[in-house]
Amino acid sequence: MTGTAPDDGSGDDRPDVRPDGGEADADLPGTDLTVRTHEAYPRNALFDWLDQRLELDHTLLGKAFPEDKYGSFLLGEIALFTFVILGLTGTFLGLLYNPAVNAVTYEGNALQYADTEVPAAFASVLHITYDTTFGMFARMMHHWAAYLFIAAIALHMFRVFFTGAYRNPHEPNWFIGSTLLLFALVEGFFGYALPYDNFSKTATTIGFQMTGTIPVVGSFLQSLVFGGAFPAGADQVIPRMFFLHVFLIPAALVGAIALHMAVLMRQKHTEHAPSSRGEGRPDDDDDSLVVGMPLFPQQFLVSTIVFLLTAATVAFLAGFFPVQRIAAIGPATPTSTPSHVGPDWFFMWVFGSLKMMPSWLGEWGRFAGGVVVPSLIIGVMMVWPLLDNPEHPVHFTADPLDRPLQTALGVAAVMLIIVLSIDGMRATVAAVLGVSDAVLYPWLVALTVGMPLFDFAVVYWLLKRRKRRKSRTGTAC
Amino acid sequence: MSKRTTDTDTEADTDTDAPDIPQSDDELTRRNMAKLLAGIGGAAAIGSFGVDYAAGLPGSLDTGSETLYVEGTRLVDRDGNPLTAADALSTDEFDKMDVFPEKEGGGALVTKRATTLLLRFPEDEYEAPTNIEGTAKGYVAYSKVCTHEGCLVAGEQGSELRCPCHGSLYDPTKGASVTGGPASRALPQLPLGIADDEDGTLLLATGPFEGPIGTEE
Repeated sequence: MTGTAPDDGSGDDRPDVRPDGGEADADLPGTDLTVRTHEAYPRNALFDWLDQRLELDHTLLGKAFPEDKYGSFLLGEIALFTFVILGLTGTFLGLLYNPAVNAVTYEGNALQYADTEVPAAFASVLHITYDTTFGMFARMMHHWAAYLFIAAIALHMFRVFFTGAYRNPHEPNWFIGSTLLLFALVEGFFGYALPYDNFSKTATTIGFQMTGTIPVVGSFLQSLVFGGAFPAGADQVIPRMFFLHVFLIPAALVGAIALHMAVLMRQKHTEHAPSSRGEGRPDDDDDSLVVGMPLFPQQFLVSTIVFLLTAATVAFLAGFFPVQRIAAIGPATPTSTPSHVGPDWFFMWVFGSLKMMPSWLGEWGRFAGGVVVPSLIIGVMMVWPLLDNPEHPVHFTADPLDRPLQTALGVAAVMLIIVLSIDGMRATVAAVLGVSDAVLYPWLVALTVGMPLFDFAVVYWLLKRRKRRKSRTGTAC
Repeated sequence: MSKRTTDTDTEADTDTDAPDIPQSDDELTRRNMAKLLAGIGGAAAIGSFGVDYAAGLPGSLDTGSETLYVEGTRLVDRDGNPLTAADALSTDEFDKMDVFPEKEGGGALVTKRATTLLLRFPEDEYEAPTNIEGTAKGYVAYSKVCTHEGCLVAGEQGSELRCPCHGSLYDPTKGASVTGGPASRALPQLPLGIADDEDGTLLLATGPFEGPIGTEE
């Protein structure tokens, strides 16, 4: 990246420009790229030492963060910071966890299980939770950080999708980002197995069974992922889940996150619609450069606040809202399934898809509900930038209201996930409404098919009408 | 391979016709050789995983195929106590319990596959496709492993058995056939009989389960 004049807008060589006042203004637009942080902080020896060796100013600290009207650009950062929290709390837990299923006698503070025989993994999680200082807190933080990690990734993807920030030339980061979401879900599945309580045994059994329904390669994948039958071969499966959860998938996550950031650095952010540029700034329509705050010091301070708020939120939730209370659930037993069993919220839609398949589909219903439907949804999501692919590079975000088709499809997809999740909670819904499962079933089928279609039609019609009116008034003026 | 042959041919031609061999042709051959070697190396690396797989992974998937019930296997409770037909369950309400096959030499075989659900209804309530021959004094027994995703059928809903995972429903008076939810196969029935020996009241199996257990095929 050289500091030459704006180029043809191919997306790769757009210079960063910061509009943070001061003398930098004189140099706009983009002819001088040096961010003079060390001039602003002349007596910082550490900074000078690093800068002389790593050229921080030029390549890293000068990265422009465009104006962010709604704070929605921070969702990705929240995901990143929850991942940091996951790493820290996970390290604490990993040092105390024991991935074994042989029966041991638990001796500790959880009276319910004192002097009883439970699986070693379950006993070690009881020890972490009830016999270790800050153990319960660390576990709950880990669990809540995982929830927020996946939620932040999902919301971040909504932002990118609805504003069209995935378009040419930003498709690579959409592919990497959706792979990250997949890794995060897989990581969640493996982590859920580890306490070896009766919920996690049930969830892992279903995952094992679902993998087996894949034609031809099903049993190979079962061997590869689980390393043995579950629950019959839990003594082989649990250590493998532990390895996958604490090493392999986290390593893949770290790699994918690094790649995600590297592509972001190389390509630069998409910018909100050019009206965000003020007086004396580069031309509104000029997308050959990016206007924004430099990473250091402005964005760094914003990010620090975001990190602290994220940590505070996770700590608050962990402190006051305990989840996955294994003492109440009980250890994995081969002969029973708890009556109110259910997955974490981010798998509720897969659970719903499995539940809704009619009996007459037989084996194919299991494959369709557990593998085909989720794969189709995730697959379309991943390749979406190839389907909606403008010929010329776009560097500004779009207003969702100006994109009837994409916005309507996005709303329909979100609605589909929501109704499938409701299907997953069918028993609860039936109990709340006071009707039987059988009465509820056809209504839920209708809702699952109809609701996304209905939403698509309504949103598309409204936005199309808006567009027509806008163009009419536009010509009138 | 054909490409490499062509390269060599060109090289031979230039050798005879012109003294200076074009540098690019020479490089191309080297590059192809490097590609070939890299291909072999990569295939060997990936193949080594295949060897690992062939060497043992499939065997590790064994879900357990141990014999559970044969003719005459006694039904016992979790602690290994034999069950008597007179007082194991009553016919009054939806009464049910988990039972297990007795191991040779006593004790219960407590595994997931072996978990059996024992129920009792008045004898005239049973309808097809129940194997009525396989009921005894109103007792009927089914595998507890749901045929959908292998959870253990636990609750009840009305007069039906319900799987807590995905809500499959089975009617125990109709051979545990599916009456709702995603499961596609009935729970396999275990034929029961009453022992002739001792005081003639012990419950026992008269054969194995009449179908595959859970999702086994």
